[in-house]
Amino acid sequence: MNCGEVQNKLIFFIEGDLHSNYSILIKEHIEKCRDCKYLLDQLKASLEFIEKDKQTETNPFFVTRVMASVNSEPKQIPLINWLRKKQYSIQVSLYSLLIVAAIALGHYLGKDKVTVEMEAVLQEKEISDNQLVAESYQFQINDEDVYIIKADENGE
Amino acid sequence: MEDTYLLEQIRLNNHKAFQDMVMKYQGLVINTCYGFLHNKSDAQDIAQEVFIEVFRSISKFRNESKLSTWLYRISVNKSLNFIRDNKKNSWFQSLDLLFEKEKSSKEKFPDSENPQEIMEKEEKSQTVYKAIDELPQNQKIAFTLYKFENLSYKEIAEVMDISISSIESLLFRAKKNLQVKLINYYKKN
Repeated sequence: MNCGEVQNKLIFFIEGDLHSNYSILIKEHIEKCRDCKYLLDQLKASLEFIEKDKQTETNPFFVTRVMASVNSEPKQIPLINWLRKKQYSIQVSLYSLLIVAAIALGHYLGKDKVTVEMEAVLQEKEISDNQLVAESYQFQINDEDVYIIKADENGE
Repeated sequence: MEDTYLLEQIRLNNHKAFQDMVMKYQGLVINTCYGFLHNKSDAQDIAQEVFIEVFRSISKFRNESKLSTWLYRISVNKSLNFIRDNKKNSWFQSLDLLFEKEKSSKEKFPDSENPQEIMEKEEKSQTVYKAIDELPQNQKIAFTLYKFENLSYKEIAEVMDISISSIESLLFRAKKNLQVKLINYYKKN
């Protein structure tokens, strides 16, 4: 067995997954090869680390914490359960609705402002037109007065 | 206390029975969550959520599988969801982690007094867990349940709801991938 073949099977050798013939061959190789021995030791240490790192100790406060959370849980109502289950779809729908509403509101407000401005301009124009008509009418009346006064003076 | 009796009592809203179940299975749930999260405090928080979920949905449990299988399933799902949500917020958490790193190393390895030793252990844990985290999801689930909970192939198959031969294949590939990653790391260092 060469180093490549051994290094391909190291983890299975450590885990005891190999056929006994293979295990004997790997053992023989490792006794002679320092590089493969180093890799075997490192891999073994890593797997042993997982074994040591397991959380086997129980926390006395954990049960208290869980029970406090459970006791403070409000009574389950079907509607709330349904809302909880659908919370992501509801969130997406609400955000979409908000965006659509914002666009519609912006469009409405924008349009309204322009309309108001246009109406104001038109109104202003109408007033000034009316004023012009009124003024010309006033001139007409004044001319007629002058004519009547002149006729009186002449005794007509 | 028998699981069937416990479940019966919990369904009748017996909080004492639920407390007994938490005491009985807290080790299983916390250790499973820790296998995925590699952080004690996160594992306990998620384990708490697991039990709350069990309490909420106990009426849906139909005794078709063992209680422990159901607890494993919820623990795995909650842990994976936590990892997924954390990935989304990783930009915001990187600063917190930077400041907490030194503290957590000392908490994680309380027996090691020598800072050099702590650093070496921390590096080793990071290397192994990074390699496990990088495995494809199903390989990671199978390997974590196998290594952290010492579950048999049959039990893992029940939790993951797939055949035993699929579990054999998943574990073979997980070990192979892990070996490649770790050996590459050892060769570089």
